[in-house]
Amino acid sequence: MTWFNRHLDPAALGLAVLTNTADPRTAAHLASCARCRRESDRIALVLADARAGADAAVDAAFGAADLERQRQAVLQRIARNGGAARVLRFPHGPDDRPVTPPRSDARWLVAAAAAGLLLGVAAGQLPHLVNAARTTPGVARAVAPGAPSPATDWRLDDSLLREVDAALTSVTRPELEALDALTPVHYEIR
Amino acid sequence: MTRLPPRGKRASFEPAPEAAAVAAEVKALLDAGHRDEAAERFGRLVGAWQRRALRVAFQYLGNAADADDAVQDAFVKLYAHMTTYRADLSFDAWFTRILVNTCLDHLKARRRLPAGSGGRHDAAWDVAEALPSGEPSAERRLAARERWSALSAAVGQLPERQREVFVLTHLDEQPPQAIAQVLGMSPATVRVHLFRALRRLRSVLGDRS
Repeated sequence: MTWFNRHLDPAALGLAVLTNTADPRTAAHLASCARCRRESDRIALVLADARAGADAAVDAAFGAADLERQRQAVLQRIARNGGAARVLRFPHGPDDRPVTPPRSDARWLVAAAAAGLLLGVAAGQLPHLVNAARTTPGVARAVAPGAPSPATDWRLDDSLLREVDAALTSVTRPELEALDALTPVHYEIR
Repeated sequence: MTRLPPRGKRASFEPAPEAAAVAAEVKALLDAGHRDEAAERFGRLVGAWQRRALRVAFQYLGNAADADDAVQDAFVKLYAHMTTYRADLSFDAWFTRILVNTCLDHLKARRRLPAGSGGRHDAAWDVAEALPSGEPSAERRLAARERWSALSAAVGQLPERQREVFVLTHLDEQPPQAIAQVLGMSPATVRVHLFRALRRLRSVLGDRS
């Protein structure tokens, strides 16, 4: 068994000294172990000495006249309005979260943006859709005149694409309009 | 947790209740548009807190000139935000937070300076120079000087959070609950940071191994 297993770590003793509290295990050990009590007293003395040293350093560097000079300097800066200071929100804690709009507001915003997008796309596509509705029966003519003689496969493709176009232009499905707007129709491909 | 008998605390250290009352007065005067009177009352607040503030700033910054600047800046910031002060919250925690943030700003600004262009880097040397010597209790003062010099140098090497927690606990004698409010963490986290800081400072505190 090592020394540290039997006696308290100096950090644990220091924690107890600085916070004036100890967890039950530490408190129980301190109550029964004279050696750790002595060590705890020694650490308390080291910390108190260091604190006294800090106080002495501040007292030596800032006498009464220095403190008054500093106080006057602060008041003069305040009189000059102090300049721009960083904003410090308070209190600061676990509940201190960035301010965001309420969730329902955010939902309405998204819905409005989506509706606007769909309307815009639909309005933009309207002339094409009207044009397509007029020319659907003659789509093959638009493809054929100057082009090389189409193969059988091409005709099949053409027929299929016509069906797809007809389906898309004849059936009104608002939820598909945005997708439709992004999909090139075959009569646009020359 | 078992409460241990307090020891080694300063006899009279805590100006908090008076300071909170004066802060509330300053806010009321500012709200009413009496700026001159508010500034006069604020001067009292500065007088009550500046030594304590200097102690913390001195530990952070390691020299008197920087500590002086940081404490002045902290008070000016405090006044600039006085109208937002809420009497139901801890004035102590608010001001300490402003002070710590200001010290950290000064440290960052110092790091941005090229070497040798300003700011002192040897905190331990500075502390030793600042301490008085040759007085009747010279032996005791010498021990205190040496201990603070060693501890101060070691604290300067701690990670930022550990250093904040240690300085506020040791020099400012704040309990974990108050530090938790200042630094925006739970009291348990404060204790963890403090324990880790103490482990790193073990050689200075005197390791028995």
